[in-house]
Amino acid sequence: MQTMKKDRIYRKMPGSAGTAFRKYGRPLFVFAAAILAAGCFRDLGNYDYTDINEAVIGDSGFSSPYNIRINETLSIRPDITFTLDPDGTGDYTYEWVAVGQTLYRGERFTIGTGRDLDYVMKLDADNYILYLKVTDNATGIVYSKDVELNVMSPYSTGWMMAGEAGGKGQVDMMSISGDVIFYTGAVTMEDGISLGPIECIWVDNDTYTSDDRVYIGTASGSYKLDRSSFSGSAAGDIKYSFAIDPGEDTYSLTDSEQVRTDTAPLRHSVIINGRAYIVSTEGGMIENSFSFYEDADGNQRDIHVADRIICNHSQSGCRTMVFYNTDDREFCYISGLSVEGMKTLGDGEDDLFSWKTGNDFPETGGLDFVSCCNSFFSNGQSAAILKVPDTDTYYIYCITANRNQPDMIKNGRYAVDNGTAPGFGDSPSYAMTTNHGYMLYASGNTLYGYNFRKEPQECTVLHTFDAPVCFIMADNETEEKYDDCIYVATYDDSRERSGILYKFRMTDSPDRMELTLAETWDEGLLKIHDMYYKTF
Amino acid sequence: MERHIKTIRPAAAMLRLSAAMMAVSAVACTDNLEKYNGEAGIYFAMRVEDSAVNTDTLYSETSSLPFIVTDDDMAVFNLKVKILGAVSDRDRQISIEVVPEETDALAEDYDPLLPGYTLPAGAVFGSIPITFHRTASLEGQERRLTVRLVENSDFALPITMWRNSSDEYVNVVRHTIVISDKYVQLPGYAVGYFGPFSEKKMALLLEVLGLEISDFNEEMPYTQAKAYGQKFDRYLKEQKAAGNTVYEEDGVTEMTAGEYIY
Repeated sequence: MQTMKKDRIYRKMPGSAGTAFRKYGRPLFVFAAAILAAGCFRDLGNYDYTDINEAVIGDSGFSSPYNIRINETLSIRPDITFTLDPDGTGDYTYEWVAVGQTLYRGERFTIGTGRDLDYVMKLDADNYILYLKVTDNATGIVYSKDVELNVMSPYSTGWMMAGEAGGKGQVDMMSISGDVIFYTGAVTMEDGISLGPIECIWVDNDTYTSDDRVYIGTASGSYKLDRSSFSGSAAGDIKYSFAIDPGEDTYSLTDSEQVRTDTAPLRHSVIINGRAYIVSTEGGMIENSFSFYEDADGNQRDIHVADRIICNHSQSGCRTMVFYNTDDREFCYISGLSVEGMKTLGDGEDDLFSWKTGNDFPETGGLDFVSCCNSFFSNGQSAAILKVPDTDTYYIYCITANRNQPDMIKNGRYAVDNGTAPGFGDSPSYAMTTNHGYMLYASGNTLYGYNFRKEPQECTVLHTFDAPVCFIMADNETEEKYDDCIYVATYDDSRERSGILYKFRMTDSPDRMELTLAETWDEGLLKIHDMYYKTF
Repeated sequence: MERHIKTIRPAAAMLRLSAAMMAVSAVACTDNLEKYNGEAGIYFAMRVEDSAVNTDTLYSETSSLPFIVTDDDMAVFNLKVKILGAVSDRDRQISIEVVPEETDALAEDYDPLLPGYTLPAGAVFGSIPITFHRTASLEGQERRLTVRLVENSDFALPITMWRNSSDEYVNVVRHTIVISDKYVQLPGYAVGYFGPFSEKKMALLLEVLGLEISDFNEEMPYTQAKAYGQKFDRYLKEQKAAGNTVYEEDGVTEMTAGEYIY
């Protein structure tokens, strides 16, 4: 029956087409069905494999990051074996490709096409991933291996040391990578600009606001320098960075501190000509000064502030900054990310001192600001050194600028015993140690450790140098910032380029101050007035 | 019957069958790219000043010509058009006319429109230059000239409305040019920093901040706009404290800066 039925169907097809279908249709349907089935068929694999020639790139030369300066030679001799070509005589091509990670994120730079790499570094300073790609031209298969490559300009990473050489402003660089190299006279100024002694140096170490963000401040003008070359020009005059030019003849930058959230640095505060400003992340533009008080009706009164910022780097984030209002001789502050003028601080009944120094020293209308230092001691204490006007009577105000306003802590006010701490007011700068909060200061060639909290106070000669001390700083910036590292610079004014930098480690205890000399760099340095660490 | 059935050889039958299958398959994989086969058309292509990625597809039916930003007494406004359909290898004419019911510009404010404006051969975009004059009667005033495209032998008007977004359609065969000789809100005027716009405030802003109106021709960096807003806010508060509260033109509303200055 089935056969008869099929015949009948076939006969209904037109003429010889039916014949053709009878003859070819069945295979055609089988073929089409096979194609359709293949679409749903899982490939369970049943193949014969043929070995291919595989390039195996060994770890040699790829096991640790390369830190290299521009113009140094990067040499890598890779260990490459070929599984089917032990002599390596096949047809292979090699390519060394550096892919930018930070400033040149994603950009590719081919720096070699041979098996071995010998490349005089001409890439711009950045972090790269360096890939070696080996192509077997017989199969077209590419094998690769990568390693971290950090290219640094001479001025990429290390301590910027600013001050004066031959009476002119200059910066020396302690370049730190695998080794330490000193570069002297790093700053070049165009347009005939002659810098006065540099009193303040600061760099924005954040990558997304990094262009031209090396700031130098002198009494006669301040500039932004190119961060790679340290070159400056008239166009970098900080007066061009103001959103609204305050209209003064010169602008002297004396301090800068970055506002930080828990995870990232943001804009920074600066003090210029005794007024405080926020530098926006938008092109480094300087906003209007926030050195003013605003009354309940919104009326604003401008004030001037001392040349240094009190803040706390030991806490997560840094949004609170304390200033000393030199007009009213009182402390004031800003806090948070929205800055609407300075806020005054309230006093409690039993407070150790008044934020308004005139309340404690009414006969002189308050105290004058001398200097300040920020530390990691006791969750970030800062010390403001004030003095009674026209006297040699000094006070140390210890303050903790907590992140969250208005919780500003008065840790204590201490009168300096000049008999115990000789020459305290002469110090070019001050530092407070991390572990026990001792004050370090210098007078002449002598570095002192001053335990001003103890009764009676104690002062210890920590070190005597061959030349007068010109700068003291506790490292609050690098990975050693919790290790109580102290930098002291000396300079003999009778000899050019006589600057020496010393690095100490405090090994103090509650009862005893000890200083261990870790490094001495007698590198013909300038007379250092300020230092700041540059991270890239 | 069989004599009328065309004899097909088995191989040829399979060939045709295969060809048919390939044709069907090919159709299934081909994009349906429909080309414009209609008549030649034209519309106004006045782009919206917008920073959006797809800004080239957004059109406006109004444009401004503020004489206040220039020192000139005459300005040529180029009204841009775009064609629909194929480009032509010959010059074509574009016709426009004034829409009287939507025009209050005086005859002295602009040169009479031409009977036709030439779109050169091969052009997709064209422009219709209209010359405006800064007349004495325009001072402190704002007037408008509305024109519409007119069908002619070269161009039809196959579309009248352009879809800027799902809820915004604009008329692209009619366009209004607002001419003025007074302070108008320019791109650099950020309401968030300067507050609601008014002519009086604009004039005061320029005086207090020492700026030119042309400083507002383009958007300012927000840091700068904020700084100007703060300075203006301070001025207003100082005036108020001195008993000279500054009011808007109505004499009642106190003039303020923007709400985002701090």
